[in-house]
Amino acid sequence: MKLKAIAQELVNRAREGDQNAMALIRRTSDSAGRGSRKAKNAYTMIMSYIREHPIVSIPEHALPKHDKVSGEVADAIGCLCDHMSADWIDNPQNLGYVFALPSGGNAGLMAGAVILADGPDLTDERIYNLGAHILNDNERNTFYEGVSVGSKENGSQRGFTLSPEDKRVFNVGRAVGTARSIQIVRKGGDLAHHNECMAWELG
Amino acid sequence: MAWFKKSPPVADYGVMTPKRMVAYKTLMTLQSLKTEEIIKGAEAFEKAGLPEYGRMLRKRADLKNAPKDVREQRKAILRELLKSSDPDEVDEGADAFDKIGATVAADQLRAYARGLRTKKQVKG
Repeated sequence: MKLKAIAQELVNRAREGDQNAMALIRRTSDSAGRGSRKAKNAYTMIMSYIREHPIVSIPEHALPKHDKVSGEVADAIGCLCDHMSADWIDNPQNLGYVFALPSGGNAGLMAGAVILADGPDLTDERIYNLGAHILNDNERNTFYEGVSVGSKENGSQRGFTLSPEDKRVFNVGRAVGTARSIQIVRKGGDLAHHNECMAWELG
Repeated sequence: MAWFKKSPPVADYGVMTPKRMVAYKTLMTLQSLKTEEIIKGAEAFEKAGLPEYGRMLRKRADLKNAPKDVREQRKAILRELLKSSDPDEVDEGADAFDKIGATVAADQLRAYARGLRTKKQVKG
């Protein structure tokens, strides 16, 4: 395989979250820094491929206006709608419904965020308690990280570096964080809570 | 008599190359930029044969020059739209924000409208 094709494959694999590809790129960069001629060539190829083929995310206005959900996600959304109350959300037994949302992709997460935003106040204490029911330390921290990112732009980029399971927990956190930021903005809080760029535009 | 001299041709005239797309996205989203910098970017896009992109950038630069009461009014509208349960109304608001160059606000509203539609699909 030619060097260019290898560089292309490595970059694409790394963008899909392949940790081995990321490590290989990192190692190539280190070797190039140490002066290896072969590594320098390879690194130049990698960088030129990245520059020529930037990640193009689909703009929001080009997405379909409605994503259909079914099965587990539809059940979870239905249940959230029917029972959303302070007691319900504080009950650890109901955590499973919130964690079913990422199976529906962005549609499930955004619907979840909208329903959660209409529910009881997502205070720091409530969010902390929600995360406290996650037994795995690493997953719990990933959940809190997702909450703090919420609907900010850098959130989707963070997802590239996570394993599928961590990504799921991270996205649940993002849905909760988005819901909280919607509540803050509705109450007249700073728009930057929801999205800093949006606050810049309107501020 | 230099006025008749042709300006040098711009490479990839009228083509939205990946490099230009990155530059455009940066100009549209970077908050640390001054309005003069955004206008310079707009001029560059117009010179490169991409007037639509230049126009959007000029609108974005204008956002910051809007009077305070207009900006407050826009914020109030956005808050109201984020309370709405009618996805069509939210989408209309998003289109209006798009027209004034507030593309991120528009995208956030569209995402909210999609969430409302998914909720409606499940609960009717």
